[in-house]
Amino acid sequence: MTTVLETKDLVKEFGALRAVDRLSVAFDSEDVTSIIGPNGAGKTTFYNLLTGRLTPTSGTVLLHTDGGEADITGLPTHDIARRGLSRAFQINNLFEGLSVLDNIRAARLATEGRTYELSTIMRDDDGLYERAWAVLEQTELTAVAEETVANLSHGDKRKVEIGLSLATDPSLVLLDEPTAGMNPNESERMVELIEQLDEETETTFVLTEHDMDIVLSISDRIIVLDQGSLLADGTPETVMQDERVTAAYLGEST
Amino acid sequence: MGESFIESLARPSEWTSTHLAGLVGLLLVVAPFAIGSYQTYLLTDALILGLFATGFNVLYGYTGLLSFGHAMFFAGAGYTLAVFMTDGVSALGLGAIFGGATPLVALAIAVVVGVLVAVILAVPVGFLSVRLEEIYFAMITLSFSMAVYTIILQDYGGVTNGSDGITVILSEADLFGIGVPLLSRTVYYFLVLAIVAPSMYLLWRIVRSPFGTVLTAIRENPERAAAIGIDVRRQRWASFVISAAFSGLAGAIYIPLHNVVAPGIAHWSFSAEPVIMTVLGGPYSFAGPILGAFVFRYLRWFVTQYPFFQAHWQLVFGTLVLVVLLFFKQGVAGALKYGRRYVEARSMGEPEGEP
Amino acid sequence: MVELPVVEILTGLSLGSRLFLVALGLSLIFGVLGVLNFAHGALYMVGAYVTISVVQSVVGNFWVAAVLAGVGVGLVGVAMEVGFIRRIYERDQLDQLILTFAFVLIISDLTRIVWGSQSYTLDPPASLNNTVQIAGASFLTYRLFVIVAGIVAMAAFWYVLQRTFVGSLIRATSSDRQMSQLLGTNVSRLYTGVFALGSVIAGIGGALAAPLQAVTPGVGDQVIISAFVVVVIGGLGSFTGAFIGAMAIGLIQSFGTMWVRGADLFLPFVAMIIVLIFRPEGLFGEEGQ
Repeated sequence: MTTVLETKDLVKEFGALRAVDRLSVAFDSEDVTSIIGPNGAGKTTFYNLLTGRLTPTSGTVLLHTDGGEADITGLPTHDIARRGLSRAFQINNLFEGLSVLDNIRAARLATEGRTYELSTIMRDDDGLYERAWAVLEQTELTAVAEETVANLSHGDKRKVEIGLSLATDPSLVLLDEPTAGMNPNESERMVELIEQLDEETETTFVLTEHDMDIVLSISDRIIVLDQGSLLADGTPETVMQDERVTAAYLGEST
Repeated sequence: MGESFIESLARPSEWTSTHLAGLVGLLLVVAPFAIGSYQTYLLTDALILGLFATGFNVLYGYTGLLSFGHAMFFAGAGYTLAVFMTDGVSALGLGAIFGGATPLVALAIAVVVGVLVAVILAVPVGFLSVRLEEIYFAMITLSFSMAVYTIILQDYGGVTNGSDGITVILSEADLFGIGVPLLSRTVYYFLVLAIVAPSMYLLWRIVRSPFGTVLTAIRENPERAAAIGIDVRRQRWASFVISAAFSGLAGAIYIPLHNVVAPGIAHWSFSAEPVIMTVLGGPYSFAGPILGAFVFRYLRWFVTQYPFFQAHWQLVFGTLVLVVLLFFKQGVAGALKYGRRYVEARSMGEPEGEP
Repeated sequence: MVELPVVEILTGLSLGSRLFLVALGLSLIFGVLGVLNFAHGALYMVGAYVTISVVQSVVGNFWVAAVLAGVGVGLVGVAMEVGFIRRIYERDQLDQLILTFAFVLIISDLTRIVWGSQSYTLDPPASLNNTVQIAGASFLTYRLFVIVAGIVAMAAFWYVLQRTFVGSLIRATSSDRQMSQLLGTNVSRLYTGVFALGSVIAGIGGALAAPLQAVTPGVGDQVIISAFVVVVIGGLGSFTGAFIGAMAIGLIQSFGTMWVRGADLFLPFVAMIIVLIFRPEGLFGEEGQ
């Protein structure tokens, strides 16, 4: 049981509104953790604070790597990404004009520290191709490798979204509603994919989700947020029996 | 595929970029001997403008930043060359060191120093400018460029000669007993070709490199680029400086061809020229900008044949840009690509003898 | 009591007033339509030319000419918006900038075709073509009028914005285009109307400027650059910002020549660069704009 990412009393205020209220959580490397909560509970804001897109009003974010504990609070996004904290967005946030392969290659180049390299011709780099191809195989995108992302189906785009977040060899991936906009078939495939990736790689997966069936089937641990604060944190069984959780969800259909 | 390069030349529909580049290269080498002196001058001008536009496009088409101030690098290098060629040579006593070869050596040094000045200017300007995006980037580059323009125009310190400009006329170099008249249009053409061709190759390598790919990712989605670990600001800065360096190079070699440098090449309306050329040619392919430069230059020459159009080239180009932007977003390069696909599709249908 | 350089201040304010009218239209169009109209200076210039033509014609009256200039330029604006600008709302801002720049070329050249390249001058209207003594120096009454006109324009605009239905539409659409559309605003007609209004204001600005400067085909370019500086400093989309920014630039240019030769050309850009670095949204702009 090793902690890979933790927050201590994380707070984010927008004027008078407290979007995230003294949130202290620790993510374990062994678990698939789901973050749930009603709309406006602060899930996306929380992600934004972790990845540096927003600066916290107060509190700390600590990333645990092989090198030890690093305080990544308020660091620029690219710096945090380089340290191994990756993110897949709720609304597809891709390099639309590039091919699927180039999307992944760009991520690989960033991870391998080759962003200022001028001496090679990228297309001729077989090693890079293979490493990018590996990611495409993992995410079942090999059939559309040369396609321009803008021309892909929504389901395939979602896969590219995850592929991008994995291509950087992250220690932890924050998935934001990975099944958003998918039909039941696609959602099932996505869940299987996540479970597969969880088994096959060392990467820790954290996801936000609305669909309780998915949450219950995939999660080792569930964190419940409500209006920016931590409502419950534990195994699916514990959380689902928690009265406060059912109260918060009263009237909410899955 | 066991046939030779020569044999593959026989089937135009299957020519690759290498074939085309080779053909173009051959044409360029032979050209000055086939066309007249004035046409050689035009061709030289088009090549220089092509380098300017291609350099500009590293920042625009590949990185997604529209600069309305690239004239400042073109002019900065141009004025540096002019000042060096008129005052610097004598001040440094180069004549005594290089003797007969001085005109050529001085030119080489002047070009290098010109590029250096463009780079030195680009580093702080770029650093400040890349903190902004989109139209704000366009406006800050425009204002930097106009600040440079007004400095040149005001002739502070008597360096730039204000609106009179500086005249640069190359003399004959004596290389090991052979007289090389640098002023000759043919000679200067080959000098320019010797600079532009390798520069275009360098630029081609730059955009095909990992650095180039990262730039296109930034163009497509700067936010996601940051999320995968790319330092967007720093990469843009690097792109800016590289773009400025090549634009400066173009500016430096432009001056001896036109024999005079005047403040006009620092004005924002001159900055608009690589924008027009790139839009016409197509910003999303490597050859687009230089194609656009050729269209731009030759169209300008063409309209001089018709007094009405010549007096109103702004109307002509304004309308052209309008039409291209509204209906042909990919520019000339896009049209060529479309045409090539059409030719390929047709030639593939032939062997089967389909109706 | 410190001796105020009154003449320089007033000259600066009169310049600021003319700039304000262009900047106001520019800001209005940007705020509501999201398009930075590079050609706005050209519209101002057309206003100046039309004024001169009308005054030199049978009509002979400056005030009529100014009104006709406003209307004429407004019609040009409508033609531009309906014919072309409308097609590029979905395109990214850079494309829009290049497109409106193409219009600069076209309008400038059409102006040259109609009026030629020579410089035109116009006398101020007889009623205001005298001087008044201020702080021991002579000051053209017409210039004072222009200053007053600028202030009146700002007040009138403020009134329209705050107290009329059209004004509330403009404010709403300025801050959230999508929402306005969802709420049922006929965005298409609003856009045309706003573009026309911005053009009319620019046209009148040109009309007012005609008696104060030589009118040449280069005037449009000069003014749009100054207008860019004004709206960036004041804040793109902010109307108060356009006013303050315009007056500031007018004063900077007026005083600048006192210190260093050519500084009036120079200093506005330095000011713009400083603002873009420290507060890109402008003095009165909203963050994230």
